Amino acid sequence: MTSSSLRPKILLLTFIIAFIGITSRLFYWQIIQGYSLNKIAENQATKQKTTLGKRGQIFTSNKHLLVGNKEMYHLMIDKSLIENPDNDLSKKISTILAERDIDDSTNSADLNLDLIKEENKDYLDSRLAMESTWIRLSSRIDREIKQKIEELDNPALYFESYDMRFYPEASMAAHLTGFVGKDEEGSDTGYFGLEGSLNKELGGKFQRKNFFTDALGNLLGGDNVLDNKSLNGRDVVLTIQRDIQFLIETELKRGIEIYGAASGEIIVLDPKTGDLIGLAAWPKYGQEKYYTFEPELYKNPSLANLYEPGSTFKTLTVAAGIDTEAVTPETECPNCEGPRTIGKYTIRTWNDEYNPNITVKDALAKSDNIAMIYVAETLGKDRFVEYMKKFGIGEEIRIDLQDDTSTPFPDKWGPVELATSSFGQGISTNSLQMVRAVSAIANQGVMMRPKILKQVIDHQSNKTIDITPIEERRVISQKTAQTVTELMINSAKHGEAQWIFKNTHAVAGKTGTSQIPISGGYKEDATIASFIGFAPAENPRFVMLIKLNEPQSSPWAAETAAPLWYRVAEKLFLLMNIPPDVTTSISP
Amino acid sequence: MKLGMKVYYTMLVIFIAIQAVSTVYQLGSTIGHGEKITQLENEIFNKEKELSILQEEKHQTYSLTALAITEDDSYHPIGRPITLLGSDNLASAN
Repeated sequence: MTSSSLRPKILLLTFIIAFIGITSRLFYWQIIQGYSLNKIAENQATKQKTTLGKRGQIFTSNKHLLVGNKEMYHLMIDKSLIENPDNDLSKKISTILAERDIDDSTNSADLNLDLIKEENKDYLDSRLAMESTWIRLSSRIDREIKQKIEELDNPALYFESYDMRFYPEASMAAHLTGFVGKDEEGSDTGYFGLEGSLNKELGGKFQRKNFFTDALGNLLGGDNVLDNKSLNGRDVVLTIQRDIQFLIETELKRGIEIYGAASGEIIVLDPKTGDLIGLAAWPKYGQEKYYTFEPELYKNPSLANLYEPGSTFKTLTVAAGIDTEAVTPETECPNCEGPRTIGKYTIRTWNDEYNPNITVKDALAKSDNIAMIYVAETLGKDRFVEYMKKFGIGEEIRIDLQDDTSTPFPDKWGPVELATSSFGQGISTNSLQMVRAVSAIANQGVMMRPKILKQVIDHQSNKTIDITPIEERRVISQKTAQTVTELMINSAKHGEAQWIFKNTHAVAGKTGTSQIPISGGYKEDATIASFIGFAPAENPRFVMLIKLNEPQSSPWAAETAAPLWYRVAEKLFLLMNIPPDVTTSISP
Repeated sequence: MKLGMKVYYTMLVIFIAIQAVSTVYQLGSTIGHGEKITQLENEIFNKEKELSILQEEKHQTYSLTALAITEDDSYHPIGRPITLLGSDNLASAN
């Protein structure tokens, strides 16, 4: 074989070997290692971005902001960028931060500027002495403070922004809104009130997104698209009216000071829709610095605190009696000439005055305990219990507030329990249950479910959801409701609180002075004074309960809660544009 | 070189040149698109920030609690409403 005939064969063989070699390497990199190489390439070419939407805002019924968000900053330092160590840096920053801390301080004893500066400086020095490169020096920096720190012109200082709840109306409606704190993982979470019950709806949505980038990390187009879909949580519009909420909070505080009460509540509800127009409780806390208040204050007392309602409960007893036709307003009490002894207990009237043959109508006006026992006994235990359950005593409200829960309803119903419950002692409820029950009388016998949400605004679907009123059930007939309303008007006009009755608007109301149960009996010389009523009586626009715990000026509701009720109602007539329905002509 | 080969190589060069220009153009528009997205996202972010600051200031200014501190209480309750029993004014006559 000549060399010339061998050369092409060698060349061909070389090509074949090279081809097989390249093919096998390609098979190795593309097929065997393909998946992992693809992942490595993806990691190099993509950047991950996580975004958390803003928490939903809370508005009052007329769209005034009650709870919003504001941008705050963490003050950070990058120690690697410190070129010329500034020994006075901590001093300069502490002076600026002192302005914030002075504003934050609610205690005048803390208002020592030098002391605050010194404390801040010590803290900053200890942070600066840390080993890390990036150190958080301070939080809760607002825009103004940030600007002042930026004026220090220190390149090592920088800011990281975060959202914080913003309360333009300060602590208004704190018991309704609740507050935002941190959970175990350090994420924002709502506690109590609306923030607690609607935490999921209000919370911003979390999104993790991959972006294709070039070698320098710049965003590339192609599959990347501009995504402006909102991640913000749902906004909620409440049924609460800002001016009315402000009014009742101001008046409650004033009333508590005047009557020397330990605490108190005012609830205003629209009986036709169940809309909660306002709810004030005192003492209250500030949502922004909730951690500076006692945790007991976080709970909404109108839902969380049980009380024996006293004589306001008589309206329910009478309503049940009339609805079952066990009694009529003109039915006379045959055994009301003196105290009643049931078992080992002797039951008296509140003023120890007795009215033989008193009618049911007068009994409600005079708040006669003995007559109420007669109504309950005529009604019978089973029907009495049935009606109290229909009025929602013990039943949860089903309102969007975290403290809402059912309350204990007595299991044992002997003659003593029936007797004392007829005038509102020995049975406990909460203020909102009481308001809901009386609102059924105001609304022609139909009980509406109390609600606090008017609208929910979903930014992701761009939809606004209106929350419609829900009819809970009919409790009493329309005729009974009208009769009981007349009895309540009579009670307001001729009862213990008649001295304060105003001759402009027809008010249906009832006072209640109840004792406070403690273990083994009742608290000495302490009462809960309350007044519940609605107006205008014929076409009610609001039901209002005022409750004062342990008033010192007088133990009686007629001298404390009732005058406060009329004072607030008079202003409500103006704010709600309710014209007088009882007119008096002016003599020339 | 034969004519056929010349045509072949000419076509090949033109094809590669078109491919190169097309690739550069596509990559350029991809980068441009990416820059545009980044720019728009930044604009949205800044506008949202501005809006939130303005809203914060508006709500703070018109806060009832803040107004109540500065304004006098000019409310005077009407003890006895006046009832208009008759009027010569035609507009208000029944």
